Amino acid sequence: MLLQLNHIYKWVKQGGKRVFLLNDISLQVKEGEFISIMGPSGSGKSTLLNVIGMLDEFQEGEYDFLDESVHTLKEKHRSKLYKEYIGFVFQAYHLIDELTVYENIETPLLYKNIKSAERKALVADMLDRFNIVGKKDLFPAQLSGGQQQLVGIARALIAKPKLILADEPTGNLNSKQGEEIMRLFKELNQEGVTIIQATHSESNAEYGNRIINLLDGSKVKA
Amino acid sequence: MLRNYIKIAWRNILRYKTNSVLNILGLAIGLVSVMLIALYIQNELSYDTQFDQAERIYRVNMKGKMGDNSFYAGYTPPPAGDALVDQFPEIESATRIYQPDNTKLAYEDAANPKVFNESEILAVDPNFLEVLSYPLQKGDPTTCLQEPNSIVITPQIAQKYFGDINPLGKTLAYGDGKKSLQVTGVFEDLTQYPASVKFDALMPVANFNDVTYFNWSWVWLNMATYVKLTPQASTHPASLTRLQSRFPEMLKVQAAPAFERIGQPFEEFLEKGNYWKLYLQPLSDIHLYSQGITSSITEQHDVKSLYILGIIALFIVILACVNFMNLSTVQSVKRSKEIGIRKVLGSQRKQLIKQFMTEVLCYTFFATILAFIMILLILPVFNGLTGKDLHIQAFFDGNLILLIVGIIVFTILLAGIYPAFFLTSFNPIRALKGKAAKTTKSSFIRNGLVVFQFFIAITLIICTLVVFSQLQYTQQKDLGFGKDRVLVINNAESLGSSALSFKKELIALAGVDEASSSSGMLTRGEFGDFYTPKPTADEPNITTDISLSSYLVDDAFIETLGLEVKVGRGFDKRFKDSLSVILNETAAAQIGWKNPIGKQIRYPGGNMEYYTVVGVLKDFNLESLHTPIQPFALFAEESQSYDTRTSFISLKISGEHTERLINQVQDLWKSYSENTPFEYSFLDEDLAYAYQEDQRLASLFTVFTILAIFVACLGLFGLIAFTAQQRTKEIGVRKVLGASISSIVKLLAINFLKLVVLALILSVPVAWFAMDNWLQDFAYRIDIPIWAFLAAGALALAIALLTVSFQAIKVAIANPVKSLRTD
Repeated sequence: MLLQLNHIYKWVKQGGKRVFLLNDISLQVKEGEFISIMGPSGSGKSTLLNVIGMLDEFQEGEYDFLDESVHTLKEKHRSKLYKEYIGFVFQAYHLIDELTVYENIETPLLYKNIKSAERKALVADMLDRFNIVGKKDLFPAQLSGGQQQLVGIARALIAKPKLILADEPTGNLNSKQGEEIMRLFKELNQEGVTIIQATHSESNAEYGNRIINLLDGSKVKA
Repeated sequence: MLRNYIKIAWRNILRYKTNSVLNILGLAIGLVSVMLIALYIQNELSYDTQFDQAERIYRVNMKGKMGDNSFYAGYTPPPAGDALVDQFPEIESATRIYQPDNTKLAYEDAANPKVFNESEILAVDPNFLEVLSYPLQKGDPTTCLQEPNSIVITPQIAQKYFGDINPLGKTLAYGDGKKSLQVTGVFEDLTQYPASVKFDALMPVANFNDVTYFNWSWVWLNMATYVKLTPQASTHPASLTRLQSRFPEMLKVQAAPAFERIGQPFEEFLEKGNYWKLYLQPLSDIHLYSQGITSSITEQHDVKSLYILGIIALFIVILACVNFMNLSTVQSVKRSKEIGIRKVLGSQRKQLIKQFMTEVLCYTFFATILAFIMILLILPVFNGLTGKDLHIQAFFDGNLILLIVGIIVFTILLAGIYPAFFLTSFNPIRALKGKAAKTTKSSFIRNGLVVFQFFIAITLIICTLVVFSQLQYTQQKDLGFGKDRVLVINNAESLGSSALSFKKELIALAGVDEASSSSGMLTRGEFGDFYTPKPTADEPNITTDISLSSYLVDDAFIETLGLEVKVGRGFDKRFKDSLSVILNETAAAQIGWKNPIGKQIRYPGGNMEYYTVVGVLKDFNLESLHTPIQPFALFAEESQSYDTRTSFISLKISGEHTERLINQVQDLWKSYSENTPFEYSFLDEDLAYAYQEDQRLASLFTVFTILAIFVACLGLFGLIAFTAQQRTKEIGVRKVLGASISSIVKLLAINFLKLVVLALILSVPVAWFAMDNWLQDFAYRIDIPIWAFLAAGALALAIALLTVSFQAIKVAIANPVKSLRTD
């Protein structure tokens, strides 16, 4: 078992009333799964991903990640945990504009205090693998959307995470670019990386081996 | 990691150019101000500290009270030094300085003889250089002043008279008596030597008859005395106090005969509540801590101005830091995405804080480099302003570099910590959405910082305006005499008995209205002594001791200087005035006479003769307005009451063809006194010189106020840019809905103007308090003008409005479609 959510509730107060963002979500994810979370805008897809990624808090429920109970951990520990095991891919890529492709990919390694020589080797491998060696000195603004997302995925993968969380990874891309990205995810999944993606698109969801439907913060049976 | 931080910082500096320029420029100006002021203060503090065993050297000062007059003086009677050494084993040695009047030096051996009037010659005791170790380039400090006919000169004087010839052993003729002086030593270049006693040449005091003549006197205060204590006495404050507590006993014995001789038995003098005391002032205190202690030998500044400058420097640095904080936090919108990503990628807060501190470090680094470049360019101007000769090298020797490093570290911490903690506190999800910085708390702090900046800027503006109006007041105030169009010729004593015919010829010149001779001149010092007014039947209860300063003058003096006779008459050829005196109102009032005319004062310092009061003058200022009006008298020249050996001729001129007139006067002078160079000045210029120190302070004030305002404006400029950017969408919507450009400018500007008004309200009491304090130093001062506050407020508002409008208009006229699309 990679992670397990038990009866997770998350709400915000609006005019004295609770508005539920996540409403009694329970979920078990085994290593090697490829899960697609689907649902309309505002259904809680991103919130759920953020909770799984430990970027967001929740009010009630339990969350175990690799047998550690996340809800009891201090921020420092939590950050160590996700730094070690989780990679993020965003719809808007979220590359650092001031850094080159090479440096963007390298950044997570810096935060893991990996030695310079090893960093070089790891980044070089990654550039090689995604065929972007020639672009390593370019800045994000000089790349197309698809290429930027490729860098985003390379960056997510560099620290060898067990889990990749992808929030609408193809949302800003055209269909051809999107397809390439999805094929890449499939490949990664076959290599053993667990992937959870949030998506609008039925066709993208099909790449996964399990689909979870959300509506107003609750799971809906398909 | 560090490389990564620096890389990011560098790219950010390049990317947000406006912001970087504002930040670096602001910091650089802050640093420049601090560094300049630090240089200035260091120079002021270093005065008199470089002498050998400076901590053992003291100046003997005098404080006295006679009737209603009390004084502090950096002068002692001539015998004081020897007496002190004699009586107290704690005092190792004493040396004296006497300041002669302008003296003429001539080098006559050369093919082209050189004659100049020297005003900066001091007469000293032979051991002078053993006590105060001014560095000599040539000559032996222990022997070079032993022989009465020796003179020790500065390299400038050497150059002036001898050119490139070795001056040692050369002969200079001194004064009109054609006394020959041999050059026995040459100083190192002293122009940069920070000593409160400055001079061009030293010669032995034995050459001056006045000093020898008054060697008995314990009331003739014309010499400065410096003493060197034993190491034990000088290091223990208790023994120093003990030593000084024994001075009065000594004075009682030593001074008694002298007081007896001037008709004032010492015991009786003390019983009347008067006093006459010696005390020691540490050498290192003389330059800055001598307020109210009269001395024309030492260069005395007010330590208060150093405090003021120090505070201004601190203010400007804080302003620059505040700018930095503000500009960095407003940048948070732009930076929040990066922060969010970094957090998601696993950065801990600590690491982000380090990153931001590194950025501040980079900014500060560039600012420091820029500051040094600016200082190199500005220093000559600053030197002109302060009258100093400061060099950038001074930073690198001594503690100044530590101070500067300290200030830079302080800047980094102050400017960096808040943004670093603020920026890294964001929740990563919110940060990624760019919503991090819109909290009310941060805008409260930002507004507070703007208010603070303008509070400082406005306070400085008010202070500057008040300082200037006080200065203008001092220069325009009715001083009780006509200072304009008065030409003063120095060294008239060299004319001897031909002065009378010289005056007659002057009067005959076209453009000369009056010509007068006098023993003293306004701003040039006066003769002072004790007199005893004589009680009469109608006014028996009067003060019977008064100290009067006075000039000996001819009958044209009152006319020439435009003095006003209130009661009685001026001197007049038709009367025999040799035993007449004219008092000023203060003197008459202090004596207590209601009807002074016909009353008499006796002069115990002379031949016990009586002078009859023939007139009372309206009070006028003898020196600057710093000093209050003292009791003063005019005696007739022919009285020969005393001999100051100085004489001035003053001319009231019509003011037309002044150039030509001066040439005529000079030609005439040459025909009368061919050996003495012609030297003149205008009275109003001499008076302005008395305010040089105030003028200097005012200029410094102005410069740094302008810098402070500039830095504050940089900050405002950055802030409004941020606000405008933050409200881009709102402005876009408003424009689509039909808002005019002016209404948008108003929308953006109004909040900032409110802050400026708040700052104004806060600064009024502070500025009032500070200036009220400063004005206390002037005997004659303005009321703090209301208009200064109004003007400062208007100025600050105008500057703020200008800054704000520039940005606001830029945003307001932008295409709304573009601004809406960015969101």
